[in-house]
This record gives sequence, C-alpha cells and structure tokens, in this order.
Amino acid sequence: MTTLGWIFMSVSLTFVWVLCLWCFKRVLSAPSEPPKQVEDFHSA
Amino acid sequence: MSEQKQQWGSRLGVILAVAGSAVGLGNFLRFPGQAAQNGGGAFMIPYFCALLLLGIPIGWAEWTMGRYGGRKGFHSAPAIMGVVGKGRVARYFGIIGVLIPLGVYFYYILIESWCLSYCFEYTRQLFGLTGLGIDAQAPIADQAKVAADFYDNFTGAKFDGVTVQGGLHESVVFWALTFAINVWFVYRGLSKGIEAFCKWAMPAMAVCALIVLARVLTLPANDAAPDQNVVTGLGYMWNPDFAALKDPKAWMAAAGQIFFSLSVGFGVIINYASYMKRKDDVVLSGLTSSATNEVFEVGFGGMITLTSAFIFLGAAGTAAAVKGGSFSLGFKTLPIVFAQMPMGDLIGALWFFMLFLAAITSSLSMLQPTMAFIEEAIGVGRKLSTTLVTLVSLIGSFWVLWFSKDAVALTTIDDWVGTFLIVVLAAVQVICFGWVFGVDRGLAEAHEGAQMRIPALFRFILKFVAPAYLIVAIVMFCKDAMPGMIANLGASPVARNTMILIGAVIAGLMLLTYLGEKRWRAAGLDVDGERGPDDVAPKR
Repeated sequence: MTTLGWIFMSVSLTFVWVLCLWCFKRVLSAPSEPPKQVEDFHSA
Repeated sequence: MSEQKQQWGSRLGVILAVAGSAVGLGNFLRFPGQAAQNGGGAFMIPYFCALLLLGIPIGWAEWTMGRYGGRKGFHSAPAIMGVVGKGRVARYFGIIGVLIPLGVYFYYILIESWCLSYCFEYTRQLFGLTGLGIDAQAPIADQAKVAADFYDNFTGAKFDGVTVQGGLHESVVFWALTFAINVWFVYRGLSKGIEAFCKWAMPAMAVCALIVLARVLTLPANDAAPDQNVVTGLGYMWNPDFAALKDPKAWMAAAGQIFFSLSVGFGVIINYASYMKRKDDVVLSGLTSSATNEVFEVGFGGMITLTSAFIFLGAAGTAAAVKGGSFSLGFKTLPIVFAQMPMGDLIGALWFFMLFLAAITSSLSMLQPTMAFIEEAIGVGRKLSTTLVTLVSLIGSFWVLWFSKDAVALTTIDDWVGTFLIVVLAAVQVICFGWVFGVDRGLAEAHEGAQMRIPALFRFILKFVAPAYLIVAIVMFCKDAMPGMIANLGASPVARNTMILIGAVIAGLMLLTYLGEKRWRAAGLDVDGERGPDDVAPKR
C-alpha cells in the first residue's frame, strides 16, 4: 500500500465515522417527545 | 371502522429505518468494485463530491417534501408529488415513486432469500454438516466450479422454472420464508413492525460487520504468496490512480453509486418522512441516515470485501471477480475466500446474515409505499392493503423466480425500474422542489423544527446543480445503456413479457391515482398544493 493509499483510506474512514458519530451525538442529545395517537382518515 | 394512524415511535426509529432502507447489498458488494475499477482511493474524490453535492441535498429535498405532504394528509408519492408539483402531471409522475419500490421488491426478495440460504449453509458447515461443499484443499479452479455450480443450481440460473419443478426446491422454501417475514413485519405497521425491526437489525448488522472486519484485518499473509496480505489487499482497494479521474465515466460512476446507495429517488424517503410531524427535524435526520449509510459503505464495504478476496485470490482473481459483477463477487467468489479463511464457516455465516439484515431492512421499506398508496387511494385498512400488496408482489416475485435462466426477468426489472426510473423520479422530484414548489420555500419548509441549518450554498445546488446533473445523467443513460436494453427486449420473449408485467402494474397504479384523486378532492384535501403551508388536512 502506498503512502497516498494510506492517506486516502485514513481520510475517508475518518470523514464517514466522524460525520456519523457527530450526527448521532446531536440526535441523541435532543429532547424527544412521545408520539400522540390520532384517528386515521384513510381507513374506511 | 377506524384504525390508529401510522406514526413513527421515535426520531431514532425513523432515522434507522431510512438508513436501513439505504444500506443494502450494494454497500458491501457494488461499492468496492466501483472504487477498484475507477481509480481506487482517487475514486473517493468524485465520490465525496457527489455525496455532498447530490446525495445529501436531494435527500433533504425528499425528506422535506414527504413531511410537507404528510401535513396535507398524504403519504404516497403520487399524492405528495401532486401537492409539491402543483398538479396532475406531477401526480402521475409520482406513480414512479410507488412503482420503483414495488418493482424492485419483485426481485430483491429473491436475492434476500439467497443471503438467508447461504447463511443457513454456513451454519450447517459450522456443525459439521454438508453446506456449499467447497473443498479448501482442492485447486482454486475446482473450488470456483463448485461455488458456481451451487449458485447456478440454487438460483436456477441455467433453466427457467427449475426451482419450482420436481419437488420442493430449497430456494423456494427460503423465498417463501423470506416473503412471509417481510409481510409479517410490514403488516405490523410502521412503529411496531418496520421501526422495531430496524432498531434491532441495524446495530446487529454493525456488530456482524465489525466482527467480519476484525477477522479480515487480522488475517495472516497467504502462505503460497506472501505478498498477498492485508496491507497489499487494502492497497488494491485504496491506492489512488489519479489518471482514472480524467475519464468522465469515473465521475458518473461515483455519482451513480452515491445516488443508488442513499436510496434517493426511490420513493421510500418521501413516504417515510410523510409520517413525521410538522416540527420534527428533517435536516439532521436526513444527514444522519446518509452518514450511517456511508459508514456501512466506506467503513465496512470498502475494507472487507476486496481485501479478503485479494489475500486468497490475488490481483488477477480479484479483478476477475469484480468484473463478474456484484452477484458473482458475493455468491461465487466470497465463498471461495471463506473456504480458505481460518474460522471461515463462522465468518461466512456472519457475513451472509449481515447481508440478509441489510437486504431485509431495505425490502421492508419497499412494501410500505405501495400499502400507503392503496390505503389512501381507495380508503381501505391495513389488513386489506397488506393482502393486496402481498398478492401483487407474490405474482411479480414468482415471475422472477420462475424465469430464472440467466436472470433475464430480474435484469429487465433492474435495468428499467431499479436503475433508469430512479434517475427519472429524482429529476422530477428535484425539479418540483427547486422550481415548482420553489427552492426558497422548500428550504424554509426544511428548516421548520430543524436542529441544524442547511448551508446557503445548497440553494444553488438544489436549484441548478442537481437538476442539471440528473438531466445529463438521463441523457447519457439514454445514449449509452438504453440501446442495449431495447435490444434485449427484442431478443428475449421473457424480457418483453416482463415489460408487459411492469406495464400492467403501471396501469393499475394509474387507475388507483385516478380513483384517489377523486376521493381526495371530495374530502376537501389540498390535492394540487394550491393552499398555503398552514393549510393542514382536515380532521377526518
């Protein structure tokens, strides 16, 4: 594996993992609201 | 009779469901092949450009349109496109958003059952029973023949109807089992079925992938060829060849991979997002599901598949496997690799179980759009819509199962519905979002309840770059691929009849759209998107 190969692999993996972890951290730190049950129009 | 309205149970649930829909066999089998053939590590330059400039913004547009349509009381692509595209033309184009998931389901369920079956065979081998029957001590050519024969026999690749003649064929059992599992989860509904399954399956898939990755990265060098080791295997995948980037096809391949991988233009995101509430975030949710897909694609697919193949088969063998396509790589080549690998039976079982999970989280998402469409077009409940969709998909899937020779039926549906129409639907969606609905209004709508802002640059991308790219992609497709696809129709009666089957499905969907439109107008819904964003569906 060439040096550039290592660089491309490291940068790509770092990018996707950091992006994913950052997103999930923000999603999971947001307050969640319990769903409400409502009647459906589309049922006959 | 009334039923509980379909709704997501949690925000994490919808994110994992959309990510599950996106993560499929292409992440593990198609992506590494595309990268290796188009510049290796250098392929990641056009790949990430396409992710940032096309995949993520078009995904945001779909999430936004879906949530907006849901507020107007709609959950199907035809109805939502009618609202966003403001009229009948967009509504009838929206039929593609139901046809794609349904049509792809016809053959995808079959591939999914192959994964389950291969997992079963490896589990049998774990307990000392006969599985695929590959002898690791035999010459590689003999092993390749055994693997190919098993695949051909199992999938009926040599003769039509072979899997459903002469007794109960194993492949039919797995097909029926996989079909039943899908129907069961979809019938249970969004929250209790699809969401509950994805919340379990996505982490399980990640655990399986991590175990397989750990095994691949700790493999010893090939005794017979010490230069075939993990590092050179990674090099085969990642060493950049910048000359490949001079070819426009590498850039189109990267965009195509992103496009199909993220499930944009598939009709699923728009349906899933329609069950969200007005103040539910769509921007961060869309980005999170895309990022999850990328981890599976780059982080696992890019590290496992070709690295392991290279160690045991070398550069020439791996290149031949890649050229053979995703099915060949997944079901003919990797079994040879697992046969040579220490703990190969366990790793093979985990690998195909992971592929099965990747496939089922995708196939579950393919039935929901059609069920939602039937329910709102003719006003039936979950039970009847499940029955109707099961009947139609059973006919379509059985068609593909029967006409198995050379996978002609499968390939025909994949070419026309699973490839060409995806680009068409995405183009229609992005034009409706950027030009009919209005890009500024669309972005304002996206920012309702958003946990992060979409950078201003994406206004220009959504209005100009994405539509232009998609139109160029359609033109190039018509120029390069379409003549061959039309020639196939002329040469094969099975291909022609498969197109008639697709035509019949389209006719049915058009009839449903016609009936639905009358019903929606009678109910006073904003069918053509003429009213403002504050006009919501009346309580019914």
